[in-house]
Amino acid sequence: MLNNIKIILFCLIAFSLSACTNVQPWEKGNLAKKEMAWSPDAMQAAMNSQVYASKESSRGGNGSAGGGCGCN
Amino acid sequence: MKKMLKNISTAILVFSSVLTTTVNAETVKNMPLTGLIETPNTSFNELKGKWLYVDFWASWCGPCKKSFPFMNALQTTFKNENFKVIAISVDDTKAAAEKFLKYNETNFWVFHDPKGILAEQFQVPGMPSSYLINPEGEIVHKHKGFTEASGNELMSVIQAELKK
Repeated sequence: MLNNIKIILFCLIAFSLSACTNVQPWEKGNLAKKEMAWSPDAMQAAMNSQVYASKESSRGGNGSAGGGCGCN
Repeated sequence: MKKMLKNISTAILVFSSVLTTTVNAETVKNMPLTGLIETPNTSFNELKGKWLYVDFWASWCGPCKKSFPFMNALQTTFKNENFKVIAISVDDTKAAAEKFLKYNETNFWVFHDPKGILAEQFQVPGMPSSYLINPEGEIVHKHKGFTEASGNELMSVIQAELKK
């Protein structure tokens, strides 16, 4: 019985220490900043993409979703 | 043992239900409104008796910028029908909101909600979000986001509601 209580208490404490949080839509101002984009410099990103493509003889497989203000 | 587990789970359920209770936003509560630039401070109670188009926006939100000409048109179209457009900025700082307003003309009232208190009360699902509120203070229409098509749709909805 004591073991079960310890397990339950441990789970409660572990969940309460979780760093995950929901960012509300009106709090996404910082995420919308240019420097928060995966590729803040479009020309640099294009050059990197060209270099990788020429070295690997293939294109694509880069870029990712996320960041931004999430508007609309 | 079983009784103790049952008591613990009941306590957790009660505690979590208290934490997750939110204000019902279907009827607008009386909340203070802090004006920006030339808009005077007021409250939702003082605006009761009017049709309100409440829009939540921010200077960092691209679609919000596109909605401003629509809101100007809305205020002009319905100015004689006891209708008021209210735009609420959720920018962290007043300076950011005022800088945006310097380059985007408005003929409607603009308020500031830097801590998101109003946004939370309305349970804003995305940016921008708009709400049509009748003179009794009830939310009759909600709209999330803004595109060119949104303008036409919203105008139709508002015209229909005002005719009722």
